[in-house]
Amino acid sequence: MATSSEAIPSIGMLGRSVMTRRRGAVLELGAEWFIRGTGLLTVVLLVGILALLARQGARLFLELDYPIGRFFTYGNAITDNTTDPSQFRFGVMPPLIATFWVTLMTLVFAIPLGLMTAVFISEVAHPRVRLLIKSAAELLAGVPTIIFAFVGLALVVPRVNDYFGWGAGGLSGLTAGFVVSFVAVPLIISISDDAMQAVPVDFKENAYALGCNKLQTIWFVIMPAAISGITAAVMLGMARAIGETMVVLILAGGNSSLPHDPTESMRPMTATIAAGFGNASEQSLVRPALYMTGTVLFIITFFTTLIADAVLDRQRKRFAR
Amino acid sequence: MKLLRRRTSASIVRGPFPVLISLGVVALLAIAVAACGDDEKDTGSTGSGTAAATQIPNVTGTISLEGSSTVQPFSIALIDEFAKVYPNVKINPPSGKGSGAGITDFINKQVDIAQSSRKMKDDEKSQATAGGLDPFETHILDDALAMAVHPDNKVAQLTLEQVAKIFAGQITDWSEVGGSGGAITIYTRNEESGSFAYMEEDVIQKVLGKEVKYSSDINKQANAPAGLTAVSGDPSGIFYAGLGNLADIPQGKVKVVPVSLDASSKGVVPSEATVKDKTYPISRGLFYYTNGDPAKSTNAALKAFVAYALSDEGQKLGEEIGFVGIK
Repeated sequence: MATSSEAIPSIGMLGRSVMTRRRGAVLELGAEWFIRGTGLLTVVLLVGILALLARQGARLFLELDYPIGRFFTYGNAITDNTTDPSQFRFGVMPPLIATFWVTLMTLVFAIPLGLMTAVFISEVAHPRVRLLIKSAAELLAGVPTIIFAFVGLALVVPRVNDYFGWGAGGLSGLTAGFVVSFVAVPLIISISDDAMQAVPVDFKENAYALGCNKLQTIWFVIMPAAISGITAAVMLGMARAIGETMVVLILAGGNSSLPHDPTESMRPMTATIAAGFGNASEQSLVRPALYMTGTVLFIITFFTTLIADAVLDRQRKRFAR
Repeated sequence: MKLLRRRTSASIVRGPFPVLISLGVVALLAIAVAACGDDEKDTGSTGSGTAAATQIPNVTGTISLEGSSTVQPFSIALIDEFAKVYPNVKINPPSGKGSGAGITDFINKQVDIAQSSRKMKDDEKSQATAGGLDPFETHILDDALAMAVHPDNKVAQLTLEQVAKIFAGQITDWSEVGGSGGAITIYTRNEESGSFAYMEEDVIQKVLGKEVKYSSDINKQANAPAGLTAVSGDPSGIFYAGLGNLADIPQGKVKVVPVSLDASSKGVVPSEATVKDKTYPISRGLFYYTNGDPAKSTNAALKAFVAYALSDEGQKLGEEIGFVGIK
């Protein structure tokens, strides 16, 4: 083995033993299944999480006799520790709608801000400025969200209260959505900048040659060409908003009844689960109800991703060369 | 090289058989995960029975606490002092998640002591009994639930009935009780909190009847500082907090409203004196819940800890924090 190493240095240990010892078939089969296994692990995790959540959640209806209709229609989500189904006032709708409002508000603020910044650093700014902004965005993406929550509490909440009087003293779904958008923006900037940078330079040159100005080039050539990356960026930002817990727990206001518009105080699904889990004893109705809420959350994110994939696919076909 | 390459390319195209196997593996694993989900064992109950009944200075063992954020500052101070006297006892300090959360951990046998700012509910007691526990209540201190509003609010005092009606959503505007700020914004703790349950069961339901609940328009805050901060910034807000929690916010940021028993009597400011002579209407006990009477417990560390809480030193610690001793 030692002597052959000078002869074929580039193949390495594994390759040498494959060649010299004729263990190739066995080794390769092992390696192949190992790699395949790591790939399949994601599928296993996905199915496993869903199975676990649904199994724990289904107890609510099957063993503990909580009416399934009430779970989906009740207009409040109170996580009292109780074993009596008639005393348990929990419906998944209010947290679900709250999550919807916060996510919508996040996107309303994050998409323009994120995309415009990405266009600026990718197409307009000096490379040094681009580097500075991009590193800043990437650093920002690593800041724990509780920090965003505190900054929001100190800066955003009093102003929302003073100027608009929304929610509970400025704590509302909109406030939370606004602050979550700053959690999502670095992600959107970073990924859509990468996507726009990946657009071949001759696209741009052709556009200029045909007489497009800079704005037209960006709007009609670069953005369509980078659309799959941009959509992916927005979707990741959206997933971040749906899953964000700490900011909404502190800033959304904590009203567990059904919110009618984003300026109300509300408690989204993640915050409901976080706030209620301490009360969830083994025998209580709260525990399976929160698992069920988690199942609904999981299914929603799953379908969001599926829809995003479908949209992405359509866009790709539309702009296919 | 040639050999290697050929093998690799051959192994890529091998028909549908491996795909079927991999799908089977996925299905099996999914079933296995689902099947294993429930087999959690109660390994959390630490300490019990590990320490024999030995002499006081040689007390060893482990105890763990969880629960009320109101009791939290007392428990932490008590643990610090207790550790000086009994250095061989290991204590897992509480995180102050809330009374309900502590009692839930106690029911789930994850902690030895549940610290609580309310009495255990019948429902919780039956859950504990069903799990083979014998919940025992030790009354350690008394506390008041103070009504906090914005400093600019002109409200002079509230009757107990008005407090109940505000939190039940039957009084919705400050003008109805002589206050300012327009429509009332109600802030409460969230469901894990003892104060949350105490307000519903011992104030709202005692005054207005068993069927009355909290208003559906309440804003649940994760902890007492969050609620106090919210009220300090909202002229229309009202929030409740334990006496010990009022230290969480600088003085003058919120106004504590005097509460009277009925319309004819004068409002009383919550304080050590008014809790002790029972003139403040919204006072409550603070409790440690243990499995069986700690004085008879086989866990010497647990026995010593609860006894220390009730000792003169322990009670004095509680009073320094702002609570009221029970003696």
